[in-house]
Amino acid sequence: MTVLSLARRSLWNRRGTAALVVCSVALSVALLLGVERLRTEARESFANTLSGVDLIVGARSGPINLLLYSVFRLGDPINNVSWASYERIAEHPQVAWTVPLSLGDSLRGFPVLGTTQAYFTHYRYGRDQSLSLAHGEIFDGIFDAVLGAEVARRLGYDLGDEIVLAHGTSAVSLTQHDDKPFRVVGVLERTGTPVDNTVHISLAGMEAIHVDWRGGAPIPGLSISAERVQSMDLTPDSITAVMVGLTSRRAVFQVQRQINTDRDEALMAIMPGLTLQQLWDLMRVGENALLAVSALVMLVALTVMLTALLTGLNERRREMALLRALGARPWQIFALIIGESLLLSILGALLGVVLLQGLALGASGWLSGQLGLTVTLWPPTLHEMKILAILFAGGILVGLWPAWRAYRNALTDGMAIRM
Amino acid sequence: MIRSLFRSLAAAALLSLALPSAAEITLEWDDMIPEGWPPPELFEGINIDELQDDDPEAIEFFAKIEQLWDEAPVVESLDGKRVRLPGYAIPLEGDSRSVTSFLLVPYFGACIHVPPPPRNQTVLVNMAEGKTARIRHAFFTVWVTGTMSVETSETDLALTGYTITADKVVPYEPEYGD
Repeated sequence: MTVLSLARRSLWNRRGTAALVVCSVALSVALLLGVERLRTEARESFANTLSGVDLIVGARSGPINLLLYSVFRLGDPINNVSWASYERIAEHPQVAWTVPLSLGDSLRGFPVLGTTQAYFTHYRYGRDQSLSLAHGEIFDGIFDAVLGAEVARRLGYDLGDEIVLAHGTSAVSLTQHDDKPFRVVGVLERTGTPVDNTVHISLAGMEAIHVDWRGGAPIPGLSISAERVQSMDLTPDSITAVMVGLTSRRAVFQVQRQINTDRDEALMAIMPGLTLQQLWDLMRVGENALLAVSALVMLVALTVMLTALLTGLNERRREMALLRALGARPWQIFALIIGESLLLSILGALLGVVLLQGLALGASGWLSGQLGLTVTLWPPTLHEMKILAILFAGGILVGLWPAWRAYRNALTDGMAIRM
Repeated sequence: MIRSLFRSLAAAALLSLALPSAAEITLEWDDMIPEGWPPPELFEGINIDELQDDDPEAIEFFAKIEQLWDEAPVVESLDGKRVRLPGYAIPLEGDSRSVTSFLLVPYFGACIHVPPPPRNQTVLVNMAEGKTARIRHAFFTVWVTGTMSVETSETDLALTGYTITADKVVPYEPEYGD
């Protein structure tokens, strides 16, 4: 009992060094867990965004590029799909349904998606879950808008509010479509996907706000009022991409091939699951490099702990001898040092988890806004438990050397006359 | 003496692992093409070596092949059999860790540079209730074990083809010396 309380006091006496060691372990734990969490959350969130879509069709560019801009609203398309091609795809005998997507405008930084009502019927996320309205209804008129959950929350809009869309996708836009405001008619339930960050309007609405525009700018002197536009033909000339569902998934190669070799327009069809997998394959190198660096940082933290314990030993020779004199056995001295290094790593791990939790809470708004990621930290996954277990094992391992030295010293110091 | 005993024991253990249980048939992709397909007369009078990609004759020939591909017949006697089949997996549905549905094809890169595999060389694999498969990268090679069902439809070609309801999907290890 006295041995333990003496050990506690001894540690308290060295609290400065101990705190630094705990801090370095905590920082390394926060880094390693943070990298790991961000990696798995990004994967989870990407993988959960789309389900049940067999093909995505867009202008011929790269498969990953097409997937990123059409589904995740990341990056920009290089070209559009003509309306004629869209109709041809929609009429293909093996195509069961199509959802046109038209992008390019924004509402205070949140992307605006022009689409049809089919989007709400066919879009699936997670494990075959469909979109549902928190309140209100799906758009029907030209100037109706349905907001994603995050848009409504962040901008504080509710049913019946008027919104003014902006041209382009930047958060600050100098060209507003303020002559044709939209009305919020519905707000969607939260999904944890980029849908939460999207403003949905009809294709006709998208066409209507650009009807007096040519080549990316309003035509000077020409202004068509919101009332007059209602009577115009608002079929778009082109759209950004198309989501396609097939009558049979086995026909996917054939339809994909037909679209990819289309002689009228340079189109490209991708299978979202395969493309996402290719994206992971591409990112794996970077992910592994990040993981390796954070593992090295943890190694450095453990080395810091080893250094602190070893240098501490010399200062504590007297203390050890005292403990021995009080009747502590050499193995107790050994256990004491190991226990100390384990305690330091446990404290470090706890502090690291708390630190990361705080960081995640602070950055969650930014993460969901910028990347559409929802990062939750608790409860830790099995994999993270494993990382912590490895850390604790490392802590014990690091303790072995100083513990062995202390054990030896305890024996020799006990017998040596000079002390 | 003891060493050789160990060696033969290990070999026996390996063999028993490698051998499938008696109930399932290990399929080869050729087993899924009916005899006499594709019709040999298709290739008559065509010298593949001399065809250029943009030659109108070649375009016509490949169009004919692709159409034939689309109408490829299936071997109906495989219906209901428990089979084991190797191939490249192309994920269709799933989450970040595992997939519940994927397509199995016999050659790597199928569907990108060359005409896609014909219908009788594409298998839709649905994982049995509660089971998932791990696909580690695009075109991951796997052994799929499960029950084969052959669907045919006179009216809609797209509905004709093979589906395996799989209960086991393991990474493919080539079996040497069989």
